[in-house]
Amino acid sequence: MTNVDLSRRSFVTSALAAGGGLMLGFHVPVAQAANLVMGDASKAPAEGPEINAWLTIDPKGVVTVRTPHTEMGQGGMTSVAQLIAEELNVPWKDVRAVLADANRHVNRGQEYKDMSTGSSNLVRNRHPHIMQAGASARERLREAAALKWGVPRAQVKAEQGMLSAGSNKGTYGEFASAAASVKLAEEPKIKAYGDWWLLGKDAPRMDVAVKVDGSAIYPIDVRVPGMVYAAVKACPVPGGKVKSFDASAAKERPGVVAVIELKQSKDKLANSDLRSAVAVVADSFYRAKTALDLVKIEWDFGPGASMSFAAMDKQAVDLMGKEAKHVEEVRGDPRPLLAADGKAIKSEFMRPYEAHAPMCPPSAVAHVAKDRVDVWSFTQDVSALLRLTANQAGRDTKDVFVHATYQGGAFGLGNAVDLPRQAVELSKQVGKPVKVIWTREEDTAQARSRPPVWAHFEASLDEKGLPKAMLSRAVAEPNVPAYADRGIANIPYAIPHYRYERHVAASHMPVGPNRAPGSNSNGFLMEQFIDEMALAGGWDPLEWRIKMTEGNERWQRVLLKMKEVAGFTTKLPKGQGMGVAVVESHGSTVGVCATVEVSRRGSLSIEKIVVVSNTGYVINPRAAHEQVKGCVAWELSHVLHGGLDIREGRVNNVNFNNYKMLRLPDMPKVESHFAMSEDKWWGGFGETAGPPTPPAVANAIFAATGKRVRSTPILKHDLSWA
Amino acid sequence: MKLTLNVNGATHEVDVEAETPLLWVLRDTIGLTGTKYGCGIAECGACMIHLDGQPTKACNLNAAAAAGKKIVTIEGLSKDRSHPIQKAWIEHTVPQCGYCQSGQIMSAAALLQKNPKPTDRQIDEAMAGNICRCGTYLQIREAIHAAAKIGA
Amino acid sequence: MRRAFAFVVAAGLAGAAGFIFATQKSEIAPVGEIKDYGRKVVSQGETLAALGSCAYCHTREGGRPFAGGRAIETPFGTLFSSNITPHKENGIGQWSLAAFARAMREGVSRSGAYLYPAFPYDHFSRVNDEDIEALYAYFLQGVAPQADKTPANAMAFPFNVRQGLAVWNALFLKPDLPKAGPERDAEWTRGAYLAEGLGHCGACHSPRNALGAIDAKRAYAGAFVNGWYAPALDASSPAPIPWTKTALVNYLMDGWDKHHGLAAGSMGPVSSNLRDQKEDDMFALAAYVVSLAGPAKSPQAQAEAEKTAMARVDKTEWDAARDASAPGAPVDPGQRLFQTRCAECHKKGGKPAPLALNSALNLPDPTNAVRATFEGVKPPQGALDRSMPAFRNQITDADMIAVMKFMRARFTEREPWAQLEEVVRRESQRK
Ligand code: FES
Ligand code: FES
Repeated sequence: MTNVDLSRRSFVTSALAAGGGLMLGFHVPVAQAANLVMGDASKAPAEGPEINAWLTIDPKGVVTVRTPHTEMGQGGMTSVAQLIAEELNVPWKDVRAVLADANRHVNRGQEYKDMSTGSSNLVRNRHPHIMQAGASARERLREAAALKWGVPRAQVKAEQGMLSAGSNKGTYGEFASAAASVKLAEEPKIKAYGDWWLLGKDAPRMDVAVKVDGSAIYPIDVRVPGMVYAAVKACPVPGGKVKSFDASAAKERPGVVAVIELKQSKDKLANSDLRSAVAVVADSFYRAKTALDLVKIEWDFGPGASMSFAAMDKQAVDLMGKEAKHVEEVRGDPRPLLAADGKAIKSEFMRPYEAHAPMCPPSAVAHVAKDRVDVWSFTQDVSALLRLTANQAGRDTKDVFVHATYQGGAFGLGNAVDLPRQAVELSKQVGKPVKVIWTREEDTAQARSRPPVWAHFEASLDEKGLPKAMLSRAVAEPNVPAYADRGIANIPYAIPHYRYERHVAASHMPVGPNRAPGSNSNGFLMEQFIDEMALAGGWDPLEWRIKMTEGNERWQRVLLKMKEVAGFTTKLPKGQGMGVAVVESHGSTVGVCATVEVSRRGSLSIEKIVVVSNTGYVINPRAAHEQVKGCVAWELSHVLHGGLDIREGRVNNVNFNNYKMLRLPDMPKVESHFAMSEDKWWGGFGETAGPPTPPAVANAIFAATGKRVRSTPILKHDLSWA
Repeated sequence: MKLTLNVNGATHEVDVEAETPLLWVLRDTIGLTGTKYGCGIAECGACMIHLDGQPTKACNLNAAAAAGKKIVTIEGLSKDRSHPIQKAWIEHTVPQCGYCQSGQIMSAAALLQKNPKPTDRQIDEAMAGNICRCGTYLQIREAIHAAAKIGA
Repeated sequence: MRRAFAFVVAAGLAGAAGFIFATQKSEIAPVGEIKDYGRKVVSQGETLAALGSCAYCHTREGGRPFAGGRAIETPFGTLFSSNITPHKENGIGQWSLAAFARAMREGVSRSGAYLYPAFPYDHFSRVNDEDIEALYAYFLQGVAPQADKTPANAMAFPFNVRQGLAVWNALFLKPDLPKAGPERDAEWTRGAYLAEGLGHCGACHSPRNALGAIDAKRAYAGAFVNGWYAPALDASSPAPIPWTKTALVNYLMDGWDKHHGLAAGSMGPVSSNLRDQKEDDMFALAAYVVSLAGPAKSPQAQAEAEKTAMARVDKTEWDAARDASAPGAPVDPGQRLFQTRCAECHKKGGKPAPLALNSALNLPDPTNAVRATFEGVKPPQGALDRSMPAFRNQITDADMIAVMKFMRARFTEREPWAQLEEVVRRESQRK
């Protein structure tokens, strides 16, 4: 707790001020602002004294927790409130949550430590300081009561919103004001596992009610008086620029306010730098979008224009046959053994680029006024958004206000787009609040996608049929090549000689994190090759994994549980198959057993997915099981249907008609089990059940058909077997 | 073009190009943002509304074609989240990011209207037009069965 | 002409009292206790009922399964399908196996009354004993009883005199199956049994004679049924790429094939029903149906046909960059409509099968294309994410005519539809 000063803050009387929404009553229609509020049945947050930056308690004892992290669907909001309520010891029904104020965080010494959301970090890495905030508030309440009753603090109990010592009793609400001015000589320790009363229990998510009646506000829903709308088109080939454009036809359209060229801000663009684009601003989005279609833009596509995925694939296939410079000599040297083995197993796999395509197309509203800037945006980090807005508007961070909204999915894309810059720049230029909406097509075309990966594997088996030497050689793309290493460079299987190499194939496509980055694609490569080795050595694939991870407690837990619950067998009639795979990512080890049926003519149906997760601890089993199911669906979309079709340097499948998604009728049964180590390490849940799903399905397909699926999307392959 | 739209029982006079998709008229002109934009090409179902009781994708329907018909959006499904589908959705904590859920709920409500006790297969049929990126499909299925029980 | 002829034959024969006596069928006694068939047989029966699409005719729109009441238009008047749930009074709850088998094979109800051949007993006469019994087990023990009363039929005289059907039966009831030839293997034979029996494919896909029986000489030459045109399956099939076994299995089980598009109209529900059949059976059925179009094509010939069709696809598919009309240039109104209302989905690389391969556009009659556009296409079970919105309220008759003309001319090599305007006007009135 070094960075977060939990001593008393100035007496902010309103929780709403910190929530951000109502601070700007004149800007946000009240109905909208109220809906930013989560909590039990989405009741309004309660005004009350602020105990510390993280929470307020009103006279009736209602606790309003300020969540510094964006809620994008994984339940972060509920997790923060739960961690605080655990320490504070208040009934769950009295807990509300609002999104914390980024302005305050940025300008007052980062009091929330970190406002970003991603990498499954929230619970696994931040629970200590979040719980600390709750514990500290509780101790202040006890101290306030102790002072009033004239007893030592140790004699004051704080339980379920009540303070008591002997015959003295009082509610948290009564002591909130007093507690706010208490200074503690020493901060309390947080509770250990086993002392929990709320963590580890099924707490219903707080943001559900507002999401069933259309009242939850996403960036695309924000409406501000005087607002105009913008449709934007950046160069479809990443890295390209506007050469010239003719807006005469567009300007004649009704409602068009302006046609504006957005100039690229830097020579070499980073994540959220402004790209070269043309925007039409109009009095409705539909008018802006249809007018934009009429702007004739001449692009300088730049060097990317000649790139195609097919060419990149060819280059990668070529590289896979050559030794690479980037090497990790994990154990021994497999090369002599492989060279000497005439029957070494060799195999190659590939996965393509994938887009995030969050259901809510990225959208932002900015209002650059004389003395302040207000912004609502697609983001996974409100503090980063605030700084970026200040930078684009040329203002001090003190004058920038970020308002909370829900995020309609983000999956890693939430920090990697120049969308808020576009909104700020356009508002600056037209002098009005501007809402930018990316069409689905623009979103997919401009996505910083999940990178592709290729891998070549070689292995040599000993007389027991187990590998004695193995070489993995990945081919990555150039922007974040290290994603290719995850789960390939570091494998848990005890192979005496293991070496990892990595090549890079050229590409101009921007990439970024995408739900379980790296692991999401790599599992498909590695875990299929594991099956190939196991089967070649005459081993049952599940037994092989158990044997090869002996002594690795995390993996053993998962594998043994899998053996117990999944009914895995290699003896099914032709056309049916089961497959297993385990992938470790974001601190968690997760195994999947898939059961599939493939018909004679190759039509695939996935019957059942059994997931066994070891994330160390689980604070909300119900929410965790829901994330598991969601992750399975997420990966199945990509592995069955996905793959960005890149030709002439641009993405050609930019909407759901040709970038297809899994739908309800194809969703398999999912059974989610836990096999927790409970050993002081914490893993993530929001993305970790995804990665092992594709290889388990592919292994099951092999069992059913004898066909090894070496690339995705699976449904492009002919799986017929008779 | 001046049009009269009947949305959730209220009458709205709007002045838009006749071919404007109803989706944008609902969201931008009338201000009912519960109906969502996800794809604009009738693939995702985020914009699902009821048109004279039929589940209809509003991104794919001209505003002019909706004039004179009864339009119901998620905001008009119930005043207080009391529709059996909404109750079941809360009970089963269906939403994750929640963005697709207006559309999911409207599809599901139309299904129950026609078929108070749908089978899994009938649910598949009714819900296939709605994509959920968060993958809440299994909870949706459970919640529809639960809503059928509440409704009965 | 057709009606007059039927009148003479039927009235003449029905008039003879002796004839009536000779064809009188007796009632079969109500059944007492029925043996318990067990889950396995009942579920076999369920699969068979799906193959026969029993539910489609025997369930009215929005009604309970198998409770009957669907109106079936025939040239001779309107029939209502009967309640075939095991309800004691209003269903078939009192039917014995023998009564059920007689109805299936001879078209005579338990009471002894003749059934109209809209119930395809001329096909079901070919179903073997084992399958009849499994169906019986399913309907009596696997279906919930419903009390719905079957509405009275509205048949014109003389067709309301059911006895006349005895003649029909004598003329057209032929319970034999097509003969297996030298290159017709076990799969084909099984397929013939399924298609000509319970599957009753020919019941829709064949033209009928003046008495409403399948015109044996033109079997599978395509016909109108319930307001949809069931395309020819014989050598005159309109499919631009000839059907292969696998393509047909895809179409039957998944409701969709990349070279043939989506099962629509009355075929949609049929395909939904076939989704859970055994794949081997569907391959057999496909083997038989494909053979109706003539001897199997060599792989080279098939590939050649595909190549030709795909070249046409390449040439005709809507490509926004190429086809979007230059501002100011005179444009065919149909083309403009297509560009604004259809091209979003029906474009190069889009999800629907290319229009050049679309059967509806290639048919001699525009009804299917027009109806699908007015009413939209509700996808069958296996193709649930593929659908087409209904344009009924969004498009005028004149627009529909223009866009249909344009599509027929652009995507096919066939004559313009002569009856287009008439069909559009008729279909725009359909409720
Ligand atoms: S926005 Fe209408 S279906 Fe996607
Ligand atoms: S809940 Fe996020 S898309 Fe469905």
